[in-house]
Amino acid sequence: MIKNIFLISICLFTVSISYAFEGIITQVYTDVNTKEQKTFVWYISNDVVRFDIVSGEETVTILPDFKNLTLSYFGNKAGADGVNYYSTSSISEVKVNAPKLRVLEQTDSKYNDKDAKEVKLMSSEGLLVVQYLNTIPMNMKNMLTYFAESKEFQAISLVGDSGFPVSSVIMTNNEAIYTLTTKSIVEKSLSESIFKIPSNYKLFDPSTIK
Amino acid sequence: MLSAKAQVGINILDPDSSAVLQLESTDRGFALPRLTTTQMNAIQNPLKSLMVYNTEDSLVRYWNGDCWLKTYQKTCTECEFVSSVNQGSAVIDRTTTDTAYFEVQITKLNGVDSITTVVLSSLPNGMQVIVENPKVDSFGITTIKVYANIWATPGNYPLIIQSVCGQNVYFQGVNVTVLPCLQVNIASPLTDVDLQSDFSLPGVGTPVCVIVHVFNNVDVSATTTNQYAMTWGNMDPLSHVGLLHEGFLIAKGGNGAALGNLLNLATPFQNGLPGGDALNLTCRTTFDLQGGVYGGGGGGGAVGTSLAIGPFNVPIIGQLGPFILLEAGVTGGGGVSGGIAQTASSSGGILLGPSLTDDGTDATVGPNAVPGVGGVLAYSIPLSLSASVVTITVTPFVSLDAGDGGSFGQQGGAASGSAGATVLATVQIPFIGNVNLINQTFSASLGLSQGGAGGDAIDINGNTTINLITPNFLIKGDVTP
Repeated sequence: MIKNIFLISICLFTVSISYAFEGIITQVYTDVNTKEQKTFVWYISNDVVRFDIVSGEETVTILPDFKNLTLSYFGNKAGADGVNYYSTSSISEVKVNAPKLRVLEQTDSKYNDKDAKEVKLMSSEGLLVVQYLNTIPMNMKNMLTYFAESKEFQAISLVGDSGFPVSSVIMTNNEAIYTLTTKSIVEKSLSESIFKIPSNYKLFDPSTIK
Repeated sequence: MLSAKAQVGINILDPDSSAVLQLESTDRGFALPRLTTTQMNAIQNPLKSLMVYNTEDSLVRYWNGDCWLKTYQKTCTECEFVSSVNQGSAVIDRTTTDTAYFEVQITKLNGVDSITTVVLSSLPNGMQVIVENPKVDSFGITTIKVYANIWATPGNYPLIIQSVCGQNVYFQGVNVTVLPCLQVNIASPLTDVDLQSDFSLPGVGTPVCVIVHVFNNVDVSATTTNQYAMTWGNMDPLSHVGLLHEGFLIAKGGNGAALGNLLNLATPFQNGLPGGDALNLTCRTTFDLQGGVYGGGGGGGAVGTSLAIGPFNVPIIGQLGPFILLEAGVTGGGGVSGGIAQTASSSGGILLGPSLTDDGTDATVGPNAVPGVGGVLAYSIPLSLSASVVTITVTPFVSLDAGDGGSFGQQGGAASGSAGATVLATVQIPFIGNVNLINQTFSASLGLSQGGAGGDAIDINGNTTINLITPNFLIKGDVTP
């Protein structure tokens, strides 16, 4: 019996290893009311994440540092001196307005013919429906340390699962007011430099604002 | 014929029983010994009652046991003197001179008492007699000064100079003539008065005496700060003006300061303009001030600023600024009387926010004028900008207080103020939350100016003044020598 349990454990470990994800996920966020649209690009290498927000030609990059509990961010626009600047803040300095969600039901579903999960929740804005893939096994409780305002991450966390949201919609009076859709999921090996602040970037000193 | 009796009679047989010697004649006299003073004084042990004829003063003298008395003297110390005046009359023109002088030369001939001189007169207001060195012991000069001020009624005035010593009194009569002055009456309001030219008075080369009467409640005012309310103008420096002033001499107030270039605060703002001067003297002047002489108040200072942001190098945004968030300026109030406040106009530059201005007010005019009030401005309305995921909120704090105009003769108020802004840049990161990128407060430069100097009440210019009493509540502003 103990031997069987050990074998099952090894199998599960092997399965989880095989589910580790490394690649790039591109998503589109749309605020239906304001028609504001942003592209989110997730660079994931196991539990290491880089989060890019792309709007037109502007890109803002967020680099969570799970070890030091800091958040570094920078854009692709250089300053007047031609230098790109970045800033680093402690996670405790981030003001969070976490969504309040209540799970209604969790079901199996399909996303692009792949097995997916779907969870329906009640949010302050309306009915929230989140689809996620277990094949991208992100630990959402860990991710919530930084991405505490993400309805999708909290939804997956609330059902005690791991995975990554691939679609999300909030319905009010049977009309979508918010959507998050995934444009592409590309599995590929990523360079370590993607998860680091470019060496030629300089740390921003707010005291220079005088 | 000589009678042999205990009495002697000459040309008389029967001398009076009371006389030891009785002389009678119808064609001859009794001749005393004729001696000079030296000879008289050389007589040894003269008998009391010894008599001689002094050939030097032609007087009969007798020895009273102590001295050779003149026949009219009672004692050896009885005072005797002579006195003379240098002139019998004098003229006071009140232009070249206000005083007539008489010199009384006194010589005492006998006695120990001093000779005291007094003057008996009946003079009008404005005339005065002063006796200098009124006591002379033996020989000296007593000076009689007769002074006539510019207000004294012209005419001829006799004086009696009386010198007294013991029972002896010496009277001498003299006459003083006081000449009239020209008269200028100002009975209705005037501006920028030039006494010499406006009233066709003699100019340089012809000294005159003039009485200027500014009537009660009549305003004489200046129309610009470069003009006096009243000046004696081109009067001869030796002239003499009497100012009987019952009205108001009112200088022009300085204008409030205008704003400088709000977009180039390194260029200093000009100060408020100085107030004008009220009265300018160009010759000797006697005052009878019953009305006000008011120098102009200086204009108030102005203050302004512009809040320029950037350029700063900021993450995500790249370059923040440069831009001008706002500009603000307030102008100074006008000084009394009639100083103007300038319009505070915007620079015309490109601004992200508002152009804020507030004008000072003009001073009112007249003797009861009120200074203008400097502009005041306070502003603190935040302005938000969004760039990418960054929201920048700039909260300016602007508090500007321009200087008030000065009261009569007073400096205009200096401007003051403070300005700056708090820049709060917040990064709003989807899924994560908000984090402050910038939270800095900085102060902005101010363009500031001072108030203009108060104008003078009276510029004396080195001329002699009479009866000008300072400080004096009727005089507002400096009296410069």
